[in-house]
Amino acid sequence: MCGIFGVTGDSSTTELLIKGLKRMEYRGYDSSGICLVNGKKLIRKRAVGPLSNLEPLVEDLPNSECGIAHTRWATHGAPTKENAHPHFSRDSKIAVVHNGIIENEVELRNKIKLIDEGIAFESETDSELVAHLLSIEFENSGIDIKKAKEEEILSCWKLVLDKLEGSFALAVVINGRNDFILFARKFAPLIISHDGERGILASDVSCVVGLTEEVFYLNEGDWGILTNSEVQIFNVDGEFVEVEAKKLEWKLGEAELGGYPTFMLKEIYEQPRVVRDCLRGRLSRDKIKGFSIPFNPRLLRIVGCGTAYNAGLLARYYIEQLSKIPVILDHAHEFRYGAPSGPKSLVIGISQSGETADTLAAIEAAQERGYPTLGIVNVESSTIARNVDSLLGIRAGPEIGVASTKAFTGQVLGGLLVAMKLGQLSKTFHREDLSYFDRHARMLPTSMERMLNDQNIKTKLWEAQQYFVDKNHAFFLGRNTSYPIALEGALKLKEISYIHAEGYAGGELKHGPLALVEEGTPIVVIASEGSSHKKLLGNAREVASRGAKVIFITHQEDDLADSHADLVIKVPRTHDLLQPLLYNIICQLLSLNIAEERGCNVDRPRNLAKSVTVE
Amino acid sequence: MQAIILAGGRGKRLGGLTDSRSKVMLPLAGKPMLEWLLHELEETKIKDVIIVHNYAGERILTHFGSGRNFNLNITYSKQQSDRGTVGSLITGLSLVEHDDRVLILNGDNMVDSKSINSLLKIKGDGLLVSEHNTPQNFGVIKLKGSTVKSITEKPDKDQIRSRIVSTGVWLLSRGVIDKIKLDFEEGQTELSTSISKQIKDGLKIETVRTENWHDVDHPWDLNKLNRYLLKRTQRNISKDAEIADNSTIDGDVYIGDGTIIHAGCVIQGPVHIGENCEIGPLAVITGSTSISSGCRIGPYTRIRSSLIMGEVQIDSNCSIHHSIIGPATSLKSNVEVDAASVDKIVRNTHYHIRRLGLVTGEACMLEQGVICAPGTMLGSQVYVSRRIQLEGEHETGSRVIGGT
Repeated sequence: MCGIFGVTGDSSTTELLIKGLKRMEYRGYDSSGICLVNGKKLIRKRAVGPLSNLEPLVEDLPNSECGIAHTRWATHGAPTKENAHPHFSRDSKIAVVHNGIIENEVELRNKIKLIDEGIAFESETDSELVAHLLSIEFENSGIDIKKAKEEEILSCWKLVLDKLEGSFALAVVINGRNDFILFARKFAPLIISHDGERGILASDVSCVVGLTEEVFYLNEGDWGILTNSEVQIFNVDGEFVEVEAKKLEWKLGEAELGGYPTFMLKEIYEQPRVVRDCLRGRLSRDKIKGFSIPFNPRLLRIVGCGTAYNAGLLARYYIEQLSKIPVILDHAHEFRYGAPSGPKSLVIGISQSGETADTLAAIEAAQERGYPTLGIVNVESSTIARNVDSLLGIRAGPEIGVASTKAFTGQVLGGLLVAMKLGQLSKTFHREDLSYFDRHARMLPTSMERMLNDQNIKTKLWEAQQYFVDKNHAFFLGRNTSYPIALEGALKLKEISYIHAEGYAGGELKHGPLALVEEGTPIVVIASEGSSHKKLLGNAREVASRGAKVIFITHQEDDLADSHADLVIKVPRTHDLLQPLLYNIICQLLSLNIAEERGCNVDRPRNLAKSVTVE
Repeated sequence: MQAIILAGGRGKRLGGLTDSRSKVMLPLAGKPMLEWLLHELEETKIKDVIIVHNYAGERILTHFGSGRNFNLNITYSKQQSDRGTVGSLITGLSLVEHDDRVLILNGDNMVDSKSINSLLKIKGDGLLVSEHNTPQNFGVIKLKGSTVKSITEKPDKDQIRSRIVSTGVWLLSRGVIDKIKLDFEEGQTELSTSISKQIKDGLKIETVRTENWHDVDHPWDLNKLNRYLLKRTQRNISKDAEIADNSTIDGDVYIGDGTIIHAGCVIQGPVHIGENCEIGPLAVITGSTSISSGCRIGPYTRIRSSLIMGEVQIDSNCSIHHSIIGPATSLKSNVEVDAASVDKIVRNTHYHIRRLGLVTGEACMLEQGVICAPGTMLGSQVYVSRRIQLEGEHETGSRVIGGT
């Protein structure tokens, strides 16, 4: 989604703003803009398209000590220069950047028209209204904004915020006032840092890594003022709140390419490390530790979107198989339409960013219904992470590529840890089972490293991608624990290569999808375990006999697949529960190769944004 | 001045150990070999490093990134194909910015900052040289005073006139490099051949001697370099480690975060134990042993003078000496390794190794009670069933289930 960034108290504001935008570009890249407070007027530069279109426009801007910036992913109004942030008030004296959606937009627009009949709205955005509203409040209060005291400005700012419904992270600068930025957040992420001389605000932590050591995390509805010397934070009731600065969880370097051509490739290769970090201190031969499950549930509800939903589906298989506790899985945005599931339910929310608006809303709905919640989240300072009763951080580090890769691996391991812990609680997963699992889990990172460097696999992937490059449709089939991998494989392929791809459970094939199989349709079959594997081989034969090109992903000890496919890609053997993770890496690499062959930007696929902070 | 580190090769003679990582990324005394070299460079005036990678290069990128955490500015260049030393050198040179001279190093060698600094004091072109017991494997240098008279690359044994060899650490000026490039375009892929030609034409190459140069070619060289690097270990036990009160930890021992040392263990330095390991109870780990992160060493197991790589699991009552155990290898209980002097002949060169036990590649599995003869060498993913008396060499993927 959109990203906002602001700096005050630094002489190289422009440089910092661009640096911040670069780090946030993955959040949105339809258009971008900056605004500097300098002398008599606000200097604003905006451009449509990638950040590189903005950079030449800001090269020779005069020095400024205060400014805001924005990178946009269009929700209200097309990606045009007029719709790009920052937005100005009627008198061009107030500039605002906004992430979120103002839901009472129409009402506010009418209200403004009542006050100022002749007003010409510059853009089609809801964000612009905030600037007008603030300008009206200043007028009503009769203060001279150039000389006004902080308290006066803050009281006007609060009056504006009280009128807004919906979600927002906002930053505002005012002409002639290079000493502060106004801010507010509600259901959209915003973090603040201040080292006594320089204040920074940003949509997410990865933007400020390396610029600061400590950050302030705001609560819903918090607002305030960031000046050159300090930050003042107030809550929704207007009371001053003391917020404690927290150490940054990420190191600089983690959010950089560091020699890799794309973030996606970098993040795929980071997965052995993610496994090590995610299991560290949590898995041992006799117990699962390091996180708590609020109580012993009778029913689980899992919510997530996109890749997190697919991870949730795999978690569902794990939990039901290991603990025999039934699981209901929902897309987070559909959760609220279901019936309450009775007492003793635990709701698990899965989200990489921890800011996913749909998942956050589902967690809140669950809490309203009185269910305990558990979050499987990557960004441990995020809203979801702070709101859930119990947190399982997946420790994947910053994920910048829009298509999620390493976070999926972490989320699946998170789900597996929960499943094993529940299995131990319900005495269906025994100490010996855990000890056997543990031995294999220790070997998993090395197995990943082996396959990531396997020349034979690289060659096979290259052959496989030839089946796809000039095709418009593809299918992924799985059964049992490989079914979620089929869904995730299809999702990755459509996200980054724009090939229409669908994942199906093998058993579903004859109930419809088989009608779509033609000569040359590429179909990826992902092996499963035990009896379901033989059924999958049957499915592979069914599609092959209708002319499909079958790519079978399986493990080294499986000899059955060889005669059932045009191409077989074999990965190292590991524990049954972990095997899907290795298959998934093959799907990730396959999608990446196909997308690159088709000339797509894998880190920034069209129309998509990294953390979806609007519903 | 910029430095170019050639790190493209695999290290084929290390067998399965280099299946998923190149030689330069093998962990010695807790860090990849290349990281040790970069730490030495950190002590010189060089701040910009170009790493030429090829085999398993992603691993190098993932570990070192932009170099920020190592106080260096690192850029990368991928060697296009196997084009010899000069080929990879030229790949790296494309990133050199108008520098008068360039320092060139091999990523799979260890050399100390003191030697590099004395080389950097030279005004013109220079080369770091060292004495070696098997000069026939290197470029043998004949000296005239302190300048190079001739270089003979890997000469026949009977033609060796000197034990002085090139360490591959060069300090070369732009002019010399340009000529090397020209020769390369004409098909000359050996650095020493091109340099020899230039020497005949009057080029002066000043040499500096070093005694702190280590080359890794064969698995047993790893143990030797590990021992050397462990001498730098200083006693440092992480506050986040859990150490049982009645365990004995003597001497220079490093223990990383999250590691658990159970009751009654005896650890005598120099020993490096990485992060998140679990040792004991009653395990004995002595002199010149490195245990990388994520390992588990079971009760009553004894380990001496060995290099244990990441996520290795050694169950109870094993005895391991002078061995190299590759990552994610699993030794079940009662595995015993005998170490003794071993003679090996590799490519017509005879090597006498004073002590060698077992060498394994990645992800091997040795079941209960396997007994390994001195010098046993396994590839990766080798499976050995119970109570086998193991000896000789077994290639990757083999299953040893009968007598050997």
